[in-house]
Amino acid sequence: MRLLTFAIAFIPLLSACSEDSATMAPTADVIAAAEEGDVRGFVFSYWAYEIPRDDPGECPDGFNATEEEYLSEEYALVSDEVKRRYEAGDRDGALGLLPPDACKDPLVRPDPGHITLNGPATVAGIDLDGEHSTLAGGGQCAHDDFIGPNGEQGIDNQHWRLMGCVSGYRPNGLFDRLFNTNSSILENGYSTLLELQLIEGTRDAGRVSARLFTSAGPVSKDANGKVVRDMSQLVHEDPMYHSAVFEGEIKDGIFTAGPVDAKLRFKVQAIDNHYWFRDLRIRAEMLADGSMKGVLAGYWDIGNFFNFITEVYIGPIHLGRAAANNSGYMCAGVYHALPLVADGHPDPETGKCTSLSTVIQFEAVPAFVIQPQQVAQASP
Amino acid sequence: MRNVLQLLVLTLLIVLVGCGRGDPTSQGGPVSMKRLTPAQYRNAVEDLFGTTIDVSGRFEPDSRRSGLNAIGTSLVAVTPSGFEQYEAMARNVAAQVTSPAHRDHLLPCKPKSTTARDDVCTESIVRSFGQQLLRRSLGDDEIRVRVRAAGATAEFHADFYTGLELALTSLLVAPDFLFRIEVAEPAPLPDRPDRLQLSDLSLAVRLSYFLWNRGPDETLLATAERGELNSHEGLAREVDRLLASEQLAGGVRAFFEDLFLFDQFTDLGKDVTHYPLYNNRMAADAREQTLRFVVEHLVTQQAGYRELFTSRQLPITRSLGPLYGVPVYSSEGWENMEFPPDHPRAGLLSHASFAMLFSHPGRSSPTLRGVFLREALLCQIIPEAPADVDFSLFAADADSVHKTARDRLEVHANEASCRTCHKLTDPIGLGLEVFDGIGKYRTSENGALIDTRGDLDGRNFADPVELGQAFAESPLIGPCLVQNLYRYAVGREHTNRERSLLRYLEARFAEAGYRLPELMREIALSEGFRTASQPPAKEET
Repeated sequence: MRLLTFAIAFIPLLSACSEDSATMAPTADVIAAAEEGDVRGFVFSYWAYEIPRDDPGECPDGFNATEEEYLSEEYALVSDEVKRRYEAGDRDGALGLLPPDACKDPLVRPDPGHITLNGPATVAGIDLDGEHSTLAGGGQCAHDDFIGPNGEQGIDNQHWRLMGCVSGYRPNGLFDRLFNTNSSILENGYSTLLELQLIEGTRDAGRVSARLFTSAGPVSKDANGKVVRDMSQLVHEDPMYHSAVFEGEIKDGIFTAGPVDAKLRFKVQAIDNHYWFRDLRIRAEMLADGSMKGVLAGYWDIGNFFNFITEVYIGPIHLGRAAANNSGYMCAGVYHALPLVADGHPDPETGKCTSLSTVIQFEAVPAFVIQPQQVAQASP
Repeated sequence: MRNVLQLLVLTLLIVLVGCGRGDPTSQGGPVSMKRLTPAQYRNAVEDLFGTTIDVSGRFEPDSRRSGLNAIGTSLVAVTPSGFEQYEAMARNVAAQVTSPAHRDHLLPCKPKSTTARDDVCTESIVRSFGQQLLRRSLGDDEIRVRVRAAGATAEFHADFYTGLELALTSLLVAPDFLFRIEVAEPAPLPDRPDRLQLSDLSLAVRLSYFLWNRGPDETLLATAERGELNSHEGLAREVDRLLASEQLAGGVRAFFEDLFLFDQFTDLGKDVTHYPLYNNRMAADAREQTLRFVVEHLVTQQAGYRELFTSRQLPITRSLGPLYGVPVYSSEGWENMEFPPDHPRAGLLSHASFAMLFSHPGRSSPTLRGVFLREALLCQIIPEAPADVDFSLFAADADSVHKTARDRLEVHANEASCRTCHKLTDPIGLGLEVFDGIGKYRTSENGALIDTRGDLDGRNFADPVELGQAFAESPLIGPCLVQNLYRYAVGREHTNRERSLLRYLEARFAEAGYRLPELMREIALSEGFRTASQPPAKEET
């Protein structure tokens, strides 16, 4: 029975387009304006979890089961009545027949288990902890690093360890197609803004200060659906979505910066939440057309992560379980697996790690990052 | 003999000085009937009923003549289908005005009963509204026939407002409303026995449409009806009052909308394959940007006309920011910005409005831009392209050799039949090639660097900023504006007899630092503006 699939089917499909950044050359207008104050702004035009497409790794024990599969006997007992009540418009009555919702309370049942990706894979990212860690090596929050596409050692991405054997998260899986796109950006949600200010050296080789912000609202798109470059983007009014200033460097066409803690708002369809990343780092290639392309890598607070994947609503309707069923995991399984794969920020009392190394692929185009106080000062 | 020569020289000097300094007694041209433009129609409704009444419908298309719709308005009629449109709009406006939502605050009186005729109230409304719409007091017969028809309709429908709606509709479709009908009357002078002058009311109407693009207000109408516009003092007082009004901005906007061919924005479209940034909001803002820029400089700042071509100030909106590549701090509305001195944009010629309007849907057009600049700003006539031009020689997309518009146009301009005109248009149009078909700055086309160098009538320029400077300092720029503004003011081509007046106005304009309100004042007080010529004699058969 795919009853809950029916519920989430109300969510329109999103395009899985990944080539969304504009490709026009930077204008002299923009260059002149930016050089004047040595400040450069960017608006993210693409945002997606790193899903290693060429070598995602093997799942010899299979993929994770959904709750509907795991509790198939319980579901079968009530399926006809659930369907009847749904068709009669009694949604609450239908849901009341289903097993307790572990996406609302993951402790309603014992840990059903969660299959993690334990073998090698070729994963883009950053060596966040500066160590070539192995699980066998033990130690606090021990984990196996990945190797990057260019042979980089020590790539930390426990997010992929956690979700790599979830069918919907695999390349071209449902999650990949529906949510692992820049849909928050393109579906009138929010985007992320990055502002760089030159501290020392030149634009091509110098030290910069950087800040991340969430945009105040949707970004403008052109007729092709791409994010408009050179647009003035107001930052979100809530200071919670303004990172602290952090330092970075531009060298040999590569921008690196961090670490910094950041909360970044995300809104798409049934999800309206924010990411809480700690010790976030950026590594991006500065492209000839003025845009940049690279990764954000940091530690995602595991409490925020669980909240992020389960607090899914359309109006008052909670869809965390539907999202899990459609993506291919169980909320209770993920809940119990999270502390086991977490690799960052150990709790000083328990020693258990509280965050999950995560990699976001991003692209950003030039923009003017506007602070609220600048709006107030604008001439009428 | 020497005395005779001295006398001749002295006489010649007096004549020349007279031509250069004093207001020549140039008599105006023939009077005409001018159909209200859509903007003037809307202004008339707004002036009388406010902004809450919606004017929706399709107007008869304007007819541009000699570069101005203002001239075409005296050469157009109302077609039967056009009249149906006017009537539909009139009924719609009248229905809104008499509706329960508006009647209490828009109508000057209430009927004794809403289900019966009330001729006193109807007469009061027809008299009051009629004077404003028809721009004159109504005769008794004009009032009586409308009151009678409204009364009969009210009785038939047992509804006062249905009857009143009919009366208001009849005012809104009256020829005297839809047309500004000018009347001239004999005003002989000893040396000019055939001299005609506009009637007081006609002069008042011409004056208010020239300066405000609206009908005369009550003060101007009253002044006209007292015959005070006949005197220089009375006319000057009203001209100065109108020039000091906030409504002057609307008049200046209307002139430049006409001169810049901005009515063509209505049909403007771009191929989003080439220009994905383009949208209707952007086009509307670009149009508005230029008009705001002009009004701000010429009216608010009282700056000289020539500064329009060099000013680095610009009003801007968020939607235009990406086009100009500048930050815009206000999420809604307009804010003012100023380009730095080394910025590649300055002045009117670098505005996105011109770039997008005088381009093809999928590419820029140096020729269209050149034609517009020559004709509208320098008053030079560029002939139509010959019918047998082989456009395939240059219209094709870039190939390996002809990557830029300059490359392609050079092929074309080598055709003997094309060379003459393209020598006039292309150099200045190519000077603006760094602005693509929607006005976004670029430095290359199809991978090849764009060369903006050229010359304007012998003056070399390297880029759009220098081209703007060349326009600002062109000896043609001031006289051309004088000519266009005068023709716009009188709604017709100037006559040969008015050439001396134009020379005089040009001199006065220059003396006044090219300030537009000064020129408008000179025109409004000129003999040519307030007088008329005898109608052309009928040919004998």
